Amino acid sequence: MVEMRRAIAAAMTRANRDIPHYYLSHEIDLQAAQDRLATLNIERTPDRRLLMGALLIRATVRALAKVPELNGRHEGDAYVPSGLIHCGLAVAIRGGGLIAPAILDAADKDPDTLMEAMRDIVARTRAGRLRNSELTRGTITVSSLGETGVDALFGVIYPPQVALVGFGAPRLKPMVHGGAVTPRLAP
Amino acid sequence: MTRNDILEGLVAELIDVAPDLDPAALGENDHLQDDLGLDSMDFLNLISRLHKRFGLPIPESDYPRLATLAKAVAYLEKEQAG
Repeated sequence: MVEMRRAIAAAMTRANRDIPHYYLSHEIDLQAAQDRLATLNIERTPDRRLLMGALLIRATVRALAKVPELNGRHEGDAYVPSGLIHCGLAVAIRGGGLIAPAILDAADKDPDTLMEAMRDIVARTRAGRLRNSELTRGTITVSSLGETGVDALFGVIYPPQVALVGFGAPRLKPMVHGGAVTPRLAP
Repeated sequence: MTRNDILEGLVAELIDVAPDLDPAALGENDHLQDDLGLDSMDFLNLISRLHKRFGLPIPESDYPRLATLAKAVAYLEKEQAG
């Protein structure tokens, strides 16, 4: 644990020192996604249910296809965009610490496949059985605060990556939908 | 199955999902997510295990009824009887 925290501190210090961070925030309406999840999950046994996190990763990798300048690595003096999307996932270690292993080649994975990959990578993170490639090949990181907590997250980029996408906790908010103010789910 | 059997089964599955928890330190009114720190993936893993152990469907709409250990025991007891 001490070793891991030392490594995290070194990486984050380097990130804050070397990467000029700036932060953008945008509210998104998750109600349709939540409704779709509820409809899908009602037919499924718990081991096959999807979490919102799988849809957030799917949305992120689809969006990255349109902005390749955010998906890649800055190594040496040059930024090299990556053809593949290796989507890192910030995973909290119970007892303290955070690791961001990557779901490799995530671009074409559907939500069910991403959910399976998330389950697998979270379980192996907690068990300390990650592959080296998962820790070293990420091209973007997603950090999601789950179901409870704050509205938005501005993270520290994981070098040599150049961007991080943070999702706040979704909660019901008054939003304009179809010309009327209604309660909708938004992070 | 007595209430105690259900509680024991629940705690065993909980400790499998979150091995850092100390069974002796658990309180029945501890909130699984707010107090014991289960995230959405941990909670879903626990529900999957309870589904297998107790043979109950546990739809998502019932999740609030499993928010604490005491609530979950009451829920499992009632659903098994029903």
